[in-house]
Amino acid sequence: MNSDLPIDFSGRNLELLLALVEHIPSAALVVDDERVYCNRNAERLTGYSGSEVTTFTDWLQKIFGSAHAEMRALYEQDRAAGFPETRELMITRRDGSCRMVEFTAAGREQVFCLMHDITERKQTECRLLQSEIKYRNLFDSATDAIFILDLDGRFIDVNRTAHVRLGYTKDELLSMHISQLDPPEYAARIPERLQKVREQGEAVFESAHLRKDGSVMPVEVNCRLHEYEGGQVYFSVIRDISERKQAELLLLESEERYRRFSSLTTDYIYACSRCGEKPYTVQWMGGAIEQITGYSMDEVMAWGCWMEIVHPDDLQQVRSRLLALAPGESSSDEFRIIRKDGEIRWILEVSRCEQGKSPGELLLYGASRDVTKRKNTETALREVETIFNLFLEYSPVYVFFKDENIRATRLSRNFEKMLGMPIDQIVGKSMEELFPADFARKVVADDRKVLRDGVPIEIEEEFMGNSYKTFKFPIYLEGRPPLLAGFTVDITDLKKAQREVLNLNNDLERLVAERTEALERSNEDLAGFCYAVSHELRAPIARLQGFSVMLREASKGSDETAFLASRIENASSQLQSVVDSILMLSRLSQVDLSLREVNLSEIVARKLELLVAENPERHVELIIRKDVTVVADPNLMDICLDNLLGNAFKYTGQTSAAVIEFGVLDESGEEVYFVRDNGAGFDMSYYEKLYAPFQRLHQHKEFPGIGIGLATVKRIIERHDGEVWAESRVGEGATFFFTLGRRG
Amino acid sequence: MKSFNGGFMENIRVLLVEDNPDDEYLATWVLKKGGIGLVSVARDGREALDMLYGEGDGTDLNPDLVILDLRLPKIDGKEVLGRIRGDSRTRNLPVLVLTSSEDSGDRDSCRKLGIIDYCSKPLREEDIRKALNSIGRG
Repeated sequence: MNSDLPIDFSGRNLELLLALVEHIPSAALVVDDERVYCNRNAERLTGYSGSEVTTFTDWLQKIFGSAHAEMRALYEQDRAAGFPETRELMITRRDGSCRMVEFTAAGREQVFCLMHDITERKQTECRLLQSEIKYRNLFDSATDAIFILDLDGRFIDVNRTAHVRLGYTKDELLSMHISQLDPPEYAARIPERLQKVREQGEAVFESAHLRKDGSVMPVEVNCRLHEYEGGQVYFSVIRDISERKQAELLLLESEERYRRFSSLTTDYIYACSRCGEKPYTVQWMGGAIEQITGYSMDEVMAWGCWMEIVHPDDLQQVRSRLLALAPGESSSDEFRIIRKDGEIRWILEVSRCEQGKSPGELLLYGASRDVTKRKNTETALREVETIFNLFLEYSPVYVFFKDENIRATRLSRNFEKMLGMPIDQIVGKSMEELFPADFARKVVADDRKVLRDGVPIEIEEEFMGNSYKTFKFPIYLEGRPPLLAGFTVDITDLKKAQREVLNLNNDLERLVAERTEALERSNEDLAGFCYAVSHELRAPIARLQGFSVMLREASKGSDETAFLASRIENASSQLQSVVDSILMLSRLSQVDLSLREVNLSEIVARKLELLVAENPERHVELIIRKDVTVVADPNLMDICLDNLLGNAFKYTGQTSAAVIEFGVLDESGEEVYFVRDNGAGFDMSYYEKLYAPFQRLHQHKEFPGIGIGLATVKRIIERHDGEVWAESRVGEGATFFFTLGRRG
Repeated sequence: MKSFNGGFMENIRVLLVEDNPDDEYLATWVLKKGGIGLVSVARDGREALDMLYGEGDGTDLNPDLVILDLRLPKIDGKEVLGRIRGDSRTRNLPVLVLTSSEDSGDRDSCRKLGIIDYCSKPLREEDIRKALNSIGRG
């Protein structure tokens, strides 16, 4: 307002002015020295009506409060200067609220003031200002680099992060084109990518920027098309993903490493997750899942849950255990699974629950091990233990185990009866507490000896009038002191029976001894009797012979007497042979053999030649194997051959072309000697009678003899542990074979 | 009947030690038949020793041959033989054992003590002949 304009507001003019003022659509005020006039709008602005304001000073005080004097001074200064400028002032309304007002005045004596409420405008301006500051701050302090490019790809603006991270100054960057910032392979793709941003309004892609120092910075670019100062720009947020790339690389390596580890482990491992009350689903599995379950990883992952393979009987247990786990808790359990091939395996699983990243998400980590072998072993152990206990329960034998201090640890049930107290009272007790002192001392000594020497022992014990046989042995278990175990058998009855048997045996032995003695005595008596009889008979026989000779001499020509005398002589000679033979047989059984080398061939030749010489009328062909030597008693062999050859000679007496042969056969390593003739022979059906004394197979008229020869032969051969046998047919001769067992 | 050596036999004195009368008779008969005239008979071992060594009265017999049975009353034949061999006067006195025993043990023990023959009863003429031959009187 021009203060130079001379306006007179006095008198009539003043009233006009006031009416005008009243209708001005702005808040207006007329000040005339101390008088003041406010229009309606002014009253509305300040909240004070015209009647409430008495003076200009009063108005100032009301509007500006404590600052009124200062404001009066400013007013006076501006009035003096002709109100050269408008002022923005803060006023306080009647209700206490503040408004920003633009104050314009004109005049000198009477001053015309206009007030415009600029509170709203000021506030908007203020907000704008704040917003600008905020934007700049954001722009510059963003952790991502931000480029604003024109549609040609030239930089319009960059934030602080951008130029700091790329190593350029802001001005350097603003003078560049985006393609200068990219390595060639990415620079080549810029037009294509910007095209995509233009078409779609925005695009996210990975790229890389070159720092000023030439190093490469991998980036993720989020680029949008933006309205900016009336045109379009590219607004790109550039995220440095070096670390992410590095992390991805590490993650890949870690995954690979983990994959390798899990291929080595014999366990399988898994990670599951669930939200709220939903069941767990498998997120990841690794390890020996296929070896253990028979299902491939993909099959299990396809189910989403490995519960499928849990044995139906164990399912509830496993499920409730896992669902009960709260974050941070662990648990382990053993349960069965059914393999793809139907086999049942035992699994030991350790599980841990963790809080997931998203709210309400629970993660479950688990490691599962195939413990079938251990379980089977445990089962087998339990079975063994059960069987073992049954053995202890029902064993008829006393079974005991003792520790290294010789205290009972396990016992068979029958000890209750033996010791008269329940097993649980016996267990843990020392021998001294269980047995009388002397007995206990012996038991402990034996036990200690077994543990010391490590050698089992078998002992007999007497306790409370019963006999026991005990077998004790040490048991060595790795890393534990040795145990002693043993069995005790009640052998009281056995002992009794043994004593009875022993007594019986003694009786029997005594009886046998008595009988043997009697038999021997009787044998001796018999031998003695035979000997005595023979001797006693010899004397009278000798007399018979003597007298018959005398009788023959005395017959003096009486032929009949001489004949009778010779018959007596013959008979007595025969009697003499019998007696001599009996004597010889009885002697054969008694003489000791005197073994030496004997040439049988020589004996045979001598005897046969003698026989031939004594019987010149006989023509006998002799076949004698030369130099057949044996180890035998020469006297006995002489007698033996004498009989055999004598028989052969005798029984070929009526054979025209008689042949007697002596030889030896080798039958399976044993030499068999034989005397063969082609004489009368004998009927084999009487063979058994052949060797019995005084048994004869021929009539005396044909072949005289007393039947003692073969009995003698048999006795001699048997004394040499040999055998004698014969083969013959009537009229075709006989062969007598013999062996000498003692030969050599 | 011919004498064994044509007439020198009657001087030969024989002591026959024999307890059995039949055997004595038979032996004496054979000896006499052989021409031996001086035959003294002792009927047991005691008597034989008495006759050989007398009783200090100078009546001791000095026979050329003793025919000795082994089974004798009182002192048996083997002991008698032993005593004969043990006494210097009769150490070389010819003795013929005549027995019905065929015991080889007896035979061996007698041969060891020194006898001219061991004959089985009955005594035969050839037994006497052999004996006289062996003592150089046949």
